[in-house]
Amino acid sequence: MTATRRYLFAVGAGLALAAVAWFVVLPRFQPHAFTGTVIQSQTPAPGVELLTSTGERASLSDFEDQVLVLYFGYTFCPDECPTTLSGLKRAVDKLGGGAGDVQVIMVSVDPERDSPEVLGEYLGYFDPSFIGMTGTPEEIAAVAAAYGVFHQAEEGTVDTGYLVSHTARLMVIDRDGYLKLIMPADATPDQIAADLDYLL
Amino acid sequence: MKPVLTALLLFAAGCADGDSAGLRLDDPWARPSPPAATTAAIYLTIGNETEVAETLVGVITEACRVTELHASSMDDGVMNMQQMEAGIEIPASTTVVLQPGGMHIMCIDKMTDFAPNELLHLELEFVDGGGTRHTESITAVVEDR
Repeated sequence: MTATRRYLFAVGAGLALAAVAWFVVLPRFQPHAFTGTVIQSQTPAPGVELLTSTGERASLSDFEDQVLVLYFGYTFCPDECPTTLSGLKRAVDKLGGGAGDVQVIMVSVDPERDSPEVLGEYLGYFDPSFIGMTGTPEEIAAVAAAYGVFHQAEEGTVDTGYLVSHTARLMVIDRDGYLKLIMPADATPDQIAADLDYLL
Repeated sequence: MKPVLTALLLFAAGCADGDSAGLRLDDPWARPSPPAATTAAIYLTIGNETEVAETLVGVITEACRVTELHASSMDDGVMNMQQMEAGIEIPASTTVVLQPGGMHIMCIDKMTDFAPNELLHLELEFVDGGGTRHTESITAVVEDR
């Protein structure tokens, strides 16, 4: 090998190392950029007791050591709710082994239509692990107020009866029971999975 | 003179294209829906290549007891859904996309499963700018996206 070749080889190897450092190593040391808005909660997330789709009464604080993804929706909702739940299913699937440490819960904003049985069948279709929660209108109003969720029945037609306007956000509660993140419901599965993966 | 003639010819060709192609109804689909859900949404892209506005005023299908045209919209993080009573207008030379989180055909009381790969036959009723009613048949596929 001539001196020139050795020189070119050294330069090439140096450039290759620099590229690996830049594109592979450095990104691992970057802080995670959350898609959701990070909340620095001073107190644990409100643990309102509701009726679950599995038939028992449970509080949101009963899901110890799991990351909770809380979503407020209803089964009569044709567009936004199934779109969000389908996206959540994809996001959870991307977590691989971590999926078992995430619990997706949909709290019904339409307790009149959403019995525990209806909620159970509805959510189980998206993922067997997803659960629903419902209660009396007063209980739903209390949990919605605790999480700053707006919901209001709007007059529909003779065929729809009524529709429910509702806050469309995902609220993520960390393993310690603190509200940690608020994400737009239309975040992509990749964005949701990346934020959840970081919290796991 | 020549550029003017070319422009006129191009304009004429453009008109002919639009008239012959008419309405383009592309990519009709619906998300698979749980049996426990009584409603569903159907989406498609409507391209109006004519010189007059067209309005989608109704949809008839055996897959639903009844359908309505709706628009979802996000307002300060709150999702609202409004019925579009006057229908969905597709102005001349414009494409309107019915998609999740936006305009959609709301299926009320599903009469079929909305299972993956199922085909839904729909009759779309339009009224053109001249007030003429016409019906277009399409087949939507049920698939998760």
